[in-house]
Amino acid sequence: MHKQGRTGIWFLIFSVLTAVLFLANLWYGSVLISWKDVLAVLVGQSGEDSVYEVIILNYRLPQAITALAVGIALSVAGLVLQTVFRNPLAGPSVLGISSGASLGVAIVVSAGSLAGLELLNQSYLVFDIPLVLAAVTGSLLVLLIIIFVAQRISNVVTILIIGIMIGYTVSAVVGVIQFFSREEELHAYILWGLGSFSKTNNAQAIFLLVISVLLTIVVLSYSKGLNALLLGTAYARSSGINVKVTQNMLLVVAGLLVALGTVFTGPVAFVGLAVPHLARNFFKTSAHGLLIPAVIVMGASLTLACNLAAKLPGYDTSLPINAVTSLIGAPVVIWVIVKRGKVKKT
Amino acid sequence: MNPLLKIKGLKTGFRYKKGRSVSLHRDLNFDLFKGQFITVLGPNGAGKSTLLKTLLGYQKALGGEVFYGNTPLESIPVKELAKRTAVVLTDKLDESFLTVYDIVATGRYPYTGITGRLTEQDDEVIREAVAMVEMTDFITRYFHHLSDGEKQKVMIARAVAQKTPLIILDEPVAYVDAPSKIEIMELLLTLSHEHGIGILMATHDLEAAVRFSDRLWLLGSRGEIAEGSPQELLENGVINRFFDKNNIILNREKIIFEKKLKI
Amino acid sequence: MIYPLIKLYKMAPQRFAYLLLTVSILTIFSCNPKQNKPEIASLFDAIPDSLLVSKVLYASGFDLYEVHQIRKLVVYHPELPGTIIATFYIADSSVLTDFEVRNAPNIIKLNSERAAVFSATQLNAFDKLSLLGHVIGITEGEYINNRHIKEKLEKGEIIELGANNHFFIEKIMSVQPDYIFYSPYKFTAKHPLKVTGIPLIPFYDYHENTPLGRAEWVKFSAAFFDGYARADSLFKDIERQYTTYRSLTKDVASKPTVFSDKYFNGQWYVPGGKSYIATLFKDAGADYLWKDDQHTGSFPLDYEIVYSKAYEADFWRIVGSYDDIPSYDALAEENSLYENFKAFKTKHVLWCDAQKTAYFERSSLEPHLVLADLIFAFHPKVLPGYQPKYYHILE
Repeated sequence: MHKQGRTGIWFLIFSVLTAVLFLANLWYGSVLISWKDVLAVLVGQSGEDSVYEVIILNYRLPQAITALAVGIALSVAGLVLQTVFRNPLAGPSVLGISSGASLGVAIVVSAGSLAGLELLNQSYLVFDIPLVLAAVTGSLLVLLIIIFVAQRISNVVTILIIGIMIGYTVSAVVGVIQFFSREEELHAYILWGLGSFSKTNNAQAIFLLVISVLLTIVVLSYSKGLNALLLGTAYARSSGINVKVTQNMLLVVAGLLVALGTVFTGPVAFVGLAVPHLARNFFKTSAHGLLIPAVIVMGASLTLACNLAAKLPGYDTSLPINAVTSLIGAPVVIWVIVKRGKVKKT
Repeated sequence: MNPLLKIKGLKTGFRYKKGRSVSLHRDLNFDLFKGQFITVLGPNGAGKSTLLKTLLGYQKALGGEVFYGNTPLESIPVKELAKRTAVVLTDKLDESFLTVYDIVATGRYPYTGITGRLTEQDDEVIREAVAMVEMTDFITRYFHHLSDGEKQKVMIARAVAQKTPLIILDEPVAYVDAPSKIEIMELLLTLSHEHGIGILMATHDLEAAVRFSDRLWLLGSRGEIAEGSPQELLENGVINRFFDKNNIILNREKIIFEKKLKI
Repeated sequence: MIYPLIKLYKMAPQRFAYLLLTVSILTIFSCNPKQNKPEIASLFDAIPDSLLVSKVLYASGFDLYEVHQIRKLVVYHPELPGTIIATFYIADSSVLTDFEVRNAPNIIKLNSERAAVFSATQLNAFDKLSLLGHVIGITEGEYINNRHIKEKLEKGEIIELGANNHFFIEKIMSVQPDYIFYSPYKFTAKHPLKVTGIPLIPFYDYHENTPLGRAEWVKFSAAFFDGYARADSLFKDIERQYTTYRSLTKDVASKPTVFSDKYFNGQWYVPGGKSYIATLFKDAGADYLWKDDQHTGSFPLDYEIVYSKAYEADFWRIVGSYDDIPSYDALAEENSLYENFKAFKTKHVLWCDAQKTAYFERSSLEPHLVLADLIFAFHPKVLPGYQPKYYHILE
């Protein structure tokens, strides 16, 4: 097929970049560890009770895996949303879906604290089923509302605005819950909202990664349907695609991906919105068979890079993830809008 | 010989909530045979698009039946229908990085597996279809960089690649410049007469319809129906009845509309 | 100045005359020749500094003077040493009649029966001083671990005036306490309580970094009521016991290392080297791993930094919040990284059940017991048979 050369090169570049960034996340952190020591730990020859081993394998490694998983989950979800809604500004946060997940978490945490449980104060949410279920429920509920609206209104801009309004409404409800929370809960919730990849252990991180990959494979199997949807519902149907079923399945998967990318780490801003655009413009394709893998490697690179930057290697503290992703994501969004504006003028 | 498409006692229109419905045409009875070029002709708003949508299953009929071959439309699943008829519409596509090849490739989707991977044979079919519409030089270009006429040709190539016995088109030449219009009409003629593909086209462009079609299905804006060859319908003045408006009449020889001369 | 007046006179002589008259009347009425009562402030200003001795020895947040049955309470900015943010004069109403007290919200009548107290530690002091009868309103009553207060709440003798970060402004205004003791968060922004128009008295014992300094705020509360001597003797007793305990560790041979608190949502808030708990660690004869740090409060560090510094520490101090389960298993479940600390492996976690012991409410007035608890943990031989109250080694 044509263009495979160019696509192949970029894919290679970003795959290598992902691997390099993954290793860099193990290499760098607040504590400066020499490369010899890092290597020793990775090879398993660091001696007993090694401080470095704990730091690298129990702290940095789960972080890196989580960043990888979330980068994949949110980027794929963003791509699916942008295709299904045929709008470049669709994304998990813009459509209020990640707010829905946050609301689910907020409700469960408040209900839990009324019952005497401090769910968010746990550093690790050990396979915390109620919380995961709450996040999934929240995001799917918002998605259902959006689908409901989308089936009655064909104007995508209207749908987008409604999604934004839903996002605001949900945030307002969360705000009310926060207002009546205790000092500690409030602080915990605000910190959670800032996003962090360091709240999971290795088992949870791998769980996240595996589920994200499985869901991505499902999305890949819909490459045909996604491509067809780009032509519009009428043409898609004429290609033999059952549009309703395809759209609904894709949106459910997107909802699950967003929930996953939110519950363990807090909402991560902009990744779902920016990565599909970056992928389209680097790989110069809209064909999903190529775009989905592209989005995977670029999304992973982005989150790993952001995590590395947020760690402020050499400094004692670290930044919240959302600060870094927003700093990168916002310019991308602006660039998309400007670019569309330019094309319209010609 | 069995018709590709059989319309029996069809009643088209819209159904609102609470059982209310508005019908556009009742008791439509048409047949389309292999290799025929048929145009659904009528003034704007008469209900041509509604008929096409009904034939494609996008809209439910208010009564009557539609058969593809011997099979009723309701019992044909979406994927199967895509192998029986391809479609060319006026829908605008969003700007994207889809190339001409990508677009035409979607015509092969009814035949590909879950992932949509294209075989060598599929690739051949695609390239042949593109060659047929004379867009081979554009095959790697981004679709949204093309002119309207070129875009329309690509959509036709897509329909051709779908290798269906029937192609249904909704106003294929409405937004297209004059030379492209002729190109497209000639192409449709070739597809039907030389390749045996049934062509069903809806348009309000009288001249194109009369010049190229084998038969016409006339739909009037007040529910009138007529059917026949362009010659018949011109000679017996039926077309005039459908189209003439106050002072503007159809000049049957020149097949243009002109102001009525006061004799 | 004159020119426009002349212009005005020329333009409208009648109006000018009325203007002149109005100004004259206003001037006459604002000069009040009847005022001949002295102001309290001037009384204190007249006394030479050498004769004004503050009753406060350790606390840096306030000073208390007493002259001729009038108490002057000076409150300082906690971060800007020497900067006064409020001054109050407290005296019995019979004494106050001799002074000009109009428009002076900082002049307080002694022994008010309608004080609003919004700080839990201060309420604890009130209880110890038997002053609860003077309290009319509190906040967050459900979280206060005090039997007497709960009874009074039920009987309606004390009214709930706020909860969870916000105040019931209208209720406060209808209850009309004589003054409100509040705990300021920021010292620059206008406090939401200002709108009530009720005199506000800042109370922030939590800013004191020394245990004795914090305990000394009992004198702050007592200053507003009769029976100050009670507070004085209470504090003297605390001071005596504290210094006695502290002297036990002066010559210890080795000091065990200790670190504090937990990892929380991506940050590990570590007490600074000049903080309250750091002082306690030092006085208890321990080597606090961040003793050279200059922060007076807690500051955030990355997990890696804390771990690399504290993985071999002898002791780990944790104050468990209201539903932390005090067990090593629970700790490990909360964060498996905790298992890697030596203090965890050797079961040397020093745990305080804040809920059960009402640590946050009560410990500020029992620093000597807190110190003793820590000494008992770090150097048990020095206090044989001691029963710790707040801190226990986790089993």
